[in-house]
Amino acid sequence: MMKARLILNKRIKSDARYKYRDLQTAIDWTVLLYILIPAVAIFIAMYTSWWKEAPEWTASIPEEISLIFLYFFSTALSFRTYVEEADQVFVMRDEHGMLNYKKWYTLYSLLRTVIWTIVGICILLPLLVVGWGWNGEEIIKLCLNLILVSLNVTLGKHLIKLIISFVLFRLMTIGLLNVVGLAFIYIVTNELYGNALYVFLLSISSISLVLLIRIRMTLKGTFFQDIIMERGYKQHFTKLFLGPSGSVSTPLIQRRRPFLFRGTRLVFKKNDPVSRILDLYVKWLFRSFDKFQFYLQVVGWSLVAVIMLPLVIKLIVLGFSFYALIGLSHADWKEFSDHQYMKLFQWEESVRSDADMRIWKIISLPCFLLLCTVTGIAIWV
Amino acid sequence: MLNVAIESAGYQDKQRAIQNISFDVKSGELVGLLGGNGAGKSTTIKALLGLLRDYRGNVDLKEGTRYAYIPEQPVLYDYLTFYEHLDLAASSSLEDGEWEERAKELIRYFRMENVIDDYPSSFSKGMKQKVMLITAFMLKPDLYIIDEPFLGLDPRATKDFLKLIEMERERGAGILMCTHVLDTAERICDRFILLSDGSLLSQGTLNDFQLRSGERAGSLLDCVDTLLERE
Repeated sequence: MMKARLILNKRIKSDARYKYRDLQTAIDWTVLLYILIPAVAIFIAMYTSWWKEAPEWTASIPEEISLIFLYFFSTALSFRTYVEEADQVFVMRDEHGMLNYKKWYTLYSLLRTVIWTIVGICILLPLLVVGWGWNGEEIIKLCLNLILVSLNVTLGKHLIKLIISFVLFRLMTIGLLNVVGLAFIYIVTNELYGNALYVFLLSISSISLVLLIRIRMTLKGTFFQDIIMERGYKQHFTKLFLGPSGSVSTPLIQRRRPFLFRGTRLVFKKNDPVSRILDLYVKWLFRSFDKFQFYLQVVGWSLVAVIMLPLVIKLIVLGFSFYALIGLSHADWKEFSDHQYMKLFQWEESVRSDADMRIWKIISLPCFLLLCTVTGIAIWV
Repeated sequence: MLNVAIESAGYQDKQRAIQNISFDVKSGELVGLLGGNGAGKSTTIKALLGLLRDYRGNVDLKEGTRYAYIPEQPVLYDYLTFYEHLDLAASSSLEDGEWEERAKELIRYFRMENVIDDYPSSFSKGMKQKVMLITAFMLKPDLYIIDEPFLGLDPRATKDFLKLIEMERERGAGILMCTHVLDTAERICDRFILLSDGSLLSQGTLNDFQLRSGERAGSLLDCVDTLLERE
C-alpha cells in the first residue's frame, strides 16, 4: 500500500486544487480588480498604520472583545480526515496503514489549527500591542492558551458531529462547547496568570486534548459519517458560491424519517395539483436545513441592520433584503422543479407555471412582512 | 404510439453518440432495446425523451399519449418521503384522490407498507428501484420507457414487476424496455431492437433475429452474440 503520508499529501493537494478551481469560477477579473485587490490594499494600509497608531475605537472597546474574535477565528477550521469512499476497498484493508493514516491526518489537522491561530493573533497583534498595551509575555501566554483551546474545541466539535446524530442536540452541544471554550480563554487570560488554578486548568485542557486525540484514533464505525463530512468540507466553496443559486446537490441524508412534517399532513388546505406541489416544496425546503438557513441569515442580518442603522440605510437594507429573498426563493424552486425526478413525467405546463407564480409568496413574503414590521417599529421608536 | 427517427444525438462534446436509429412502439407492444455496454441504449432513451442538447431527428408521440420513464439509476429527492414522491408524481397528471388508492395497492403489491413515511435515500438499491416502479405504474401511462429495470431487484420483486408489465400490456400500454437480461427479454418481449456502436444493427421478432443470424433454433442470446460478432 502507498505510504499513509503520501496518500494524505496527495489528497490535501487535490482538495486544494478543487477549492482553487471553485475560487476561479467565482472570482473573475472584475471581482479581483474592483473588490479583492482594493480590499487587500486597504487592509495592508490599515494594518501598517495600526502599528504606528492604534485606531481611536480601541479606546472605547474593551480588549476582551479581541478574545471573542480570536476564539472564533482560531476554531473556524474543521478537523479534516480526507477519507474517500474507495478507502473501504483499499486503505482500510491494511489495518496498520489505516492507523498510520489516522495519525497523519490528526497531526495535519491539529497543525493547521495551530498555524491558523497564530495567523489570527498576528492579525490582531498591532491592536493588542499598540491599542491595548499588551506586552510580549502576555501575548505568548495568550497564544499558548488559545492554541490549547482551539485544538480542544476543533477536535471536540468534530467528535460531536461524528457521534451525535440528532441535529438539535448536536447544535446545542457545540454551542455549549463554545461557551465553555470562551469562558476558559477569558478566565485564563484575564484572571489567573501565575495562579495555581491557571496551571491546573492548563493541565486539564492538555489532558482533555490527549484524550480527544485518543478517542479519534480509536473510534470505530464512523467511516461513512466521515465520508459525508469530508464531502461537505470539500464542497465548502462550491456551496458557498453556488449554493444560493441552487446549483449544488444536497448532501446525503442521515435521517431515516423526516424531523419536520411527518406523516401525510398537508401544509396547505387546498388539494389541487399546484397546492400539492407547493406543499411538497415547502416540506422539502424546511427539511433541507442548509437551504433554509440562508433565509434565516438574510432575515437575521437584515433585522440587525434595520434596528441599528440610520433611517435611509434601513430602507436600502429593506429593499436589498426583499431582492435577496426573492432570488433565494426562485433559486430553490428551480432546484426543486428541475430535479431529475420531475423529468420522469409529462407535466401540465400550467401546473408548473402557476406554481412558479406563487412560489415567492410562500417564504419570501412572510419574511419581508416581518422585516417591514420591524422596520416600522424601529422608525416609530 | 411512438415513432422514433434519430439522425444523430450526443453529449456536450459534440461527438455523435448515436446515429440513424429508427423504430416504433405500438399500443400493447413490449419492445426490447438491446446492445452491449456503450452501444447507445441509454442515450437513445435520453434522446427520445428530449433530454439531450445535441440532437437531430424526429420523435413522434401520438397526440394525447402520456409516458412515464423509469431510469436505470433511481433519481429521488433527499428530503421527501416515499409517499411524498408518489404525491408529487401524481400531481403531474392525476386528479385529487384518484392516485391514492392505486398507490396504496402498488405499495402493498411490492410489500413496502412499512416504509411509506421514510426517506427513500435511506433505502437499498432494490427498494429505490421499487419506488421508481410504483411511481410509474401508479400513473398508468400509455407508454412506459424503462431502462434496465431488473438491476437491484430481488427475484420476487422481478416476478412481481413482470406480472405488472403483462397486465399493463393487456391494458394497451406500449413498453420500450432497455435491458441486458436477454433470457427474460426473450420470454416477454414482442420485438427487439439491437444497437451496436451507436447505430441500429437489427430489429424484429425472435424469428427475424434467428433468420438474420443463421441461428435457426438459437436463443436470443445466441442470435445477438452472432450478430454482434459479425459486426
